[in-house]
Amino acid sequence: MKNKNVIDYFKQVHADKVEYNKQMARLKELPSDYQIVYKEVQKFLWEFTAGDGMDMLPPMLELLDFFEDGAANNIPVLQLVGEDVGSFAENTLHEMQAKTRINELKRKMNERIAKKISEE
Amino acid sequence: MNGTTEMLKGVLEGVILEIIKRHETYGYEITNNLQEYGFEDIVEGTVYTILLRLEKKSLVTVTKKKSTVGPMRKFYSLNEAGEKELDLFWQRWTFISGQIERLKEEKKNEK
Repeated sequence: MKNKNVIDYFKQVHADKVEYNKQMARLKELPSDYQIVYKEVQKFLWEFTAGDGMDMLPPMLELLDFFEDGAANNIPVLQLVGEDVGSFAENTLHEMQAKTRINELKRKMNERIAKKISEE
Repeated sequence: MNGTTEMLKGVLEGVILEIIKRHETYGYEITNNLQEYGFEDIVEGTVYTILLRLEKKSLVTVTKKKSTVGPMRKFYSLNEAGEKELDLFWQRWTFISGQIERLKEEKKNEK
């Protein structure tokens, strides 16, 4: 049983890698300004991932859909996301459905406080 | 009017729910709609993150369709929970705008 779990794990890692490579291939089709911004946003999101970060893949894929639509409409990327890409990345991190370090920190903090106060 | 972004932040979610309620729509159209209402600073990226939130809170139904230009595009319509949230939004708005009007009137009377 244990072996099977290990195999499943590697299968999953492989599937994630295939998915990631597909994503990168699609990114290369986008205009260079889009590629620059996408990579920066991705870098930012990875910084805050909790766990192995694989749950970040679906939101990243969604962002790619959004970017592809923008590029197809010939909108310059900074007009699409705004000049303040940092804030855009922060908002995306806040709203996406993935485990983030910041949410984990907040959750643990609240738990600690509740525990300590109840022990007073 | 520009410079409204910060102030608008908290109410944008409700405003977007109201726009979606009128008919099924997508990010680009919502952004144009807001710009027509004079919120010139709103970019599609801002609308995008709010749509992520509405989806996370299960207030909208999302359908993926191919857009006219090719790539996938997400279309949004309001579900029952979204309708309820929108009602609450307008109630809260009535309260907030009423109280702020009151503050403004009081200020006028002081002078």
